[in-house]
Amino acid sequence: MSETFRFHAPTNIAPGDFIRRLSKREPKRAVHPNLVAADSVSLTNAQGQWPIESYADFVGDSFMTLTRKEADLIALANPGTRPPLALEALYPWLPPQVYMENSRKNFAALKALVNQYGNHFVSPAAYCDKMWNKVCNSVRMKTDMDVRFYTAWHLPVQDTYILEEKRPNRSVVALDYNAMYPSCMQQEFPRPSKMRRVVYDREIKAGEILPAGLYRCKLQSLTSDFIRKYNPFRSFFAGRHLRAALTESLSVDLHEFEIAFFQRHFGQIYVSDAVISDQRIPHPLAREAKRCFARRAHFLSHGNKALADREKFLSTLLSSCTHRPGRLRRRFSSPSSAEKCLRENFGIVADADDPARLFAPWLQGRKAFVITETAEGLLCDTPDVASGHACFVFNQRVIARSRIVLLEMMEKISQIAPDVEICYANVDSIHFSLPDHHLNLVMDALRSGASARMGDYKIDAIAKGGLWLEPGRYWLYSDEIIKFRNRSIRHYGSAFTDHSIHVVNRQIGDLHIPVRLTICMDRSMTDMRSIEYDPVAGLERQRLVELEHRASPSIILSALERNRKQSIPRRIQAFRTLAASLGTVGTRCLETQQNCQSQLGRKSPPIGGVFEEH
Amino acid sequence: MSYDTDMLVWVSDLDEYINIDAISRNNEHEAEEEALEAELERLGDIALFSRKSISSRTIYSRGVGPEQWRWMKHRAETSLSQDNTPAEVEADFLNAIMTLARRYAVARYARLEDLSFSSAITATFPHGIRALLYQFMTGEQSLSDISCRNTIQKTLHYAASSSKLTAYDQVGLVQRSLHELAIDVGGANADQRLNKDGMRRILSLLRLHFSVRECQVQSVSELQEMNLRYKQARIATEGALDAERRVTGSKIRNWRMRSLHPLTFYFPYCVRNSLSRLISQVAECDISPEPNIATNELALIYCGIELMKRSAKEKADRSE
Repeated sequence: MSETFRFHAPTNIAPGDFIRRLSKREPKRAVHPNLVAADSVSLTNAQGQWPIESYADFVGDSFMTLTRKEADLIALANPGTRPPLALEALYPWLPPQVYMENSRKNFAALKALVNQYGNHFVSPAAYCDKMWNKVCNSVRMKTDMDVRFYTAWHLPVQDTYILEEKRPNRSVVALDYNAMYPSCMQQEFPRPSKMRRVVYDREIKAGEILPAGLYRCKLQSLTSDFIRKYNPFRSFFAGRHLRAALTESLSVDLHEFEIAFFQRHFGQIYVSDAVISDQRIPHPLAREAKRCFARRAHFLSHGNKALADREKFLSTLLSSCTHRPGRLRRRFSSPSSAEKCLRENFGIVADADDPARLFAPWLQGRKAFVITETAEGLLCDTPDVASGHACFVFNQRVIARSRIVLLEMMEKISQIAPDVEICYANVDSIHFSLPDHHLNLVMDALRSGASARMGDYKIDAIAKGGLWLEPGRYWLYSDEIIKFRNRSIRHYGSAFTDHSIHVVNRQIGDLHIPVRLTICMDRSMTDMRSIEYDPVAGLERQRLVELEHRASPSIILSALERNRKQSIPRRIQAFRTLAASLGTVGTRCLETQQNCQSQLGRKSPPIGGVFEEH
Repeated sequence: MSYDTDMLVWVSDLDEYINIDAISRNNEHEAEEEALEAELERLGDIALFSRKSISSRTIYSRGVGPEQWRWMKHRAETSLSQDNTPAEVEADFLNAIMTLARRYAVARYARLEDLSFSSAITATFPHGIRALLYQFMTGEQSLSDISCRNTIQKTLHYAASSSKLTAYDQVGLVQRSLHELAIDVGGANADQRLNKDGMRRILSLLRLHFSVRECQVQSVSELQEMNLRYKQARIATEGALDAERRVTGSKIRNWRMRSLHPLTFYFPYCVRNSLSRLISQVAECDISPEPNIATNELALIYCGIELMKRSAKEKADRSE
C-alpha cells in the first residue's frame, strides 16, 4: 500500500482529546536600525563619511543599508562583525532599488525611501505574531488531535509535466488565480476546540455528506486517466517527496471536500477513522484576508504598486501565521527510543529507506529535524507540534483546498478541447498548450469565468511556446520572453541569468563570517524528474520518480542517478538553446563555469548540491 | 527466546511434536542468507584506482553490507559532477575528497595544536581568517589601528599568492609583518610585548588556513608538487637541525619539522590510501582516472569514515 503523508507514515498514536489553550506570542520590541550606506571604499551615515573598514567601530544595535550589495560590501570589508540588514531584503515589496558607486547618493536614496514608506514597515515575524494573537483571541483552545493535521500531506500541487512546447501552430496559455490562499481562507473550518475522533471503518458512499474534518482514507481502484496522468499524491523517500504508486491502494488523510473530489476518480474510498468537528467556524483571519485584498485593489487602482505589493506580501503571510510551531529539544539515551518517538509523533520511520537511519543527511536540519549525538545520548531538536503555539488545522485545510481548486481547474482544462496538454501547475497557476485553431473557442470559454475578484482566475499570458524546467522555473515566449520565473536565481530582470552570487553570514562562535555563495541553476535542479520523449505527441514529458511500496531503495537510487546524468543536462541544454534562439545569451556561468572556478582558485563542491562557496 | 506461542504439530511417524514456526523461521533465515550471498556475488570485486580492487565480501566482513554500499555509492555519485574529460574527472574527484576530508583534518589539527574547533573551522573560510586576525589585532594595542588591518590584508594576499612556499613559510611572512607593524607603532621591542598565547594561536590558525588553500588542487601533478615542496622543506630542515644541534642546541629541536606537513597528513587513512592509489595510477602509470572507479573510490572513503565513526563510538562506549 502506498502512503501519502508529510513523512513516511501516519502517526500511530491514538489522538487524545486533551484541550489545550493557544498561547499568544509576546510582541517584539520594534527595532529602529541606524541607517548606513556604502560603496566599495566608504561608508556614509548621519554623522558623515568614513572608510568602509571603520564599520567595525560603529556603536549601535543594528544597522540597515538600502541594497543587499551595500550590506555585502560592508560584510566583506569587516569580517567578524555582524553585517547590516538590507532594506530591500527586509521589505521585498519596496520598489526596485539600484546600487550606486557613491555612498552619499545611496544614503540620500535610503533616507528618502525611509521617509516615504517608513510608516508601512512591519517585519514578517512581528506581523505573524500579531495575527497569531488575533487567532488566539478568536479560537482560544484546540485539542491534541490538531497534531494529525501536521502529519497529513502538506504541500500544494507543484509539478511540471512537459519540458518544452515549441510545436508549430500551438499556443501556450497561462492561468493564474487571484489570491489563492486568502480565497481558500474564506471556507469554513472545523472548530479546533471541538474536534473528536470517530471510527468509521467503512466505505464512503457516493454523495455522502460528511462533517468537516480529516479522514484517514484508503483509496482503491483508480478509475480516472486524469489522476493517472497528473498524479497529485506523493510518498516520502529519504527526504524527498516522490510520486506515489497508484497501482496499489493508497493511504492518505483527506478533508471531506477532497473525498468528494476523489470519489469521482477512485472506485472505492474506505475510511478507517477521522478527526472531525460538528461545529464549523470561519477562519479567524478571513476578514483580514479580504481587507488585504481590497486594499491591494485600491492601491493598484491608484497606481501605488509598492503598497499594493505590500498587501500581497502580507496576505501570503496570513495563511501561514497559524503554522509556526516552536522547537522542542529532547534527549534520548538510546537510538531506539529516539526512533520510537519520531515514529509515534511524526511518522518518521528511521529505517524505512536509508541505512544511516537517524543520521541520514535529510534528518540533519533539512526538514526541521536535527539529530545530534552527544555524550549524554541523542539530542532530538524537533518542531513542538503539541504546544499551543500553532494550530495546524487552518493552514493544512487552506492548502488542501488550493489543491482541489487547482485539480478541478486542471480537469476542466484537460477536457476543454481536443489535444490540450497541461504543461505546468504550481500552487495557483496552470500553463497549458493547445492547437491554435481551438484557441478562440477556449479563450471564450475561459474568459467567462475569469475576473479580478479574489479566488477567480485571470488569463496571465498567451504565448507561442514555453520551457518548463521544474516548478518555479519557466519561460513563456513568442518572439521574445513574455513571462518567466527562475526561482533562487537573482536575475534583476534578465531572463537568462543562470547563476547568482549571494553573500551569507555564518556565525561561528562570536564571529560573523561572510561567505560568498554561487547558486547555479544546474546544481540547484532536482533529480526527481525524468524526461521521456513521447513520439505520438512529439514532445518530451517530465515524470516524477515513482515510489512503489516495498520497492528496493536501489531501484529508486538508480532512477535518481539516471535523472541526474540525463535529465538535468537535457534541461540545461534546452535552456541554452532557448537563450541562444532568443538572442539574449546570459549563460555565462554554464558556459564559462570552468573559467569562473579557475579564477576562484578551486572547483565547486557539489556536496550539498546547490551552493558553491568561495 | 520463547517459543511458547509457536505452532506445534504432532508427527506420529516421528512420535514427537514438530515446531512449524521454527522451521519457517529457519527457512526465512536461509532465504535471507541466500539473497545476501547473491547480492555479494553480484557486486563481486569493486575496482579501484591503480588496477587494484576490493572484494564486496571484504567490505561486508568489515561491517558494510550491500545495501549500505549502494547508499554510499549514491552519495558518491551525487558528490561528483557529471564531467566527462579525464582532467575534469580528476579535478572533481580531488575536490570531492578534499572537501570531505577537510573537516576531519581540521578537527585533528585543532586537537594537536590545542585550538578550539570553532576557531579552526573559522580559519578555513577565506574571510574567516581575516576575522580571526582582526580580532587578535583589536586586542593588541600596537596593532589595533585600521591602517594595520589594511597592511596585514595586503600581506595575507601576498602570502597566499606565494604558491611556491609551504604553508609554514607563508605564515612566516605574516608573522614578520605583524612584528614589524608592532615595532612601527609601539616602538622597539613592541613585538616582544604581543600576547604570546594569542600569537601562537593566530599563527597556528594561519598555518591551517594556508594549508587548506594549498590543498585546493585541481590535478594529481599539483598534488605531487605540493608533496615535493614539503619533502624538500623537510630535507632542508633536517640538514639545518644537524648543524644547529652541534653549535647551540635547541629547546624544541624538531619544532619546524613538526609543522612541515601538508593538510593531507591529517586526513583519515581511507582518504590517504585512496590518494596514494590515485597518484600511483596517474603519475606512475599515466592512466587517467575513470569516472566509475572514481565513484567507487569515493564510496569506499564514505564507508571508511563510517567505520571510523563506528569504532570511535564503540571505543567511547567501552571506556564508559
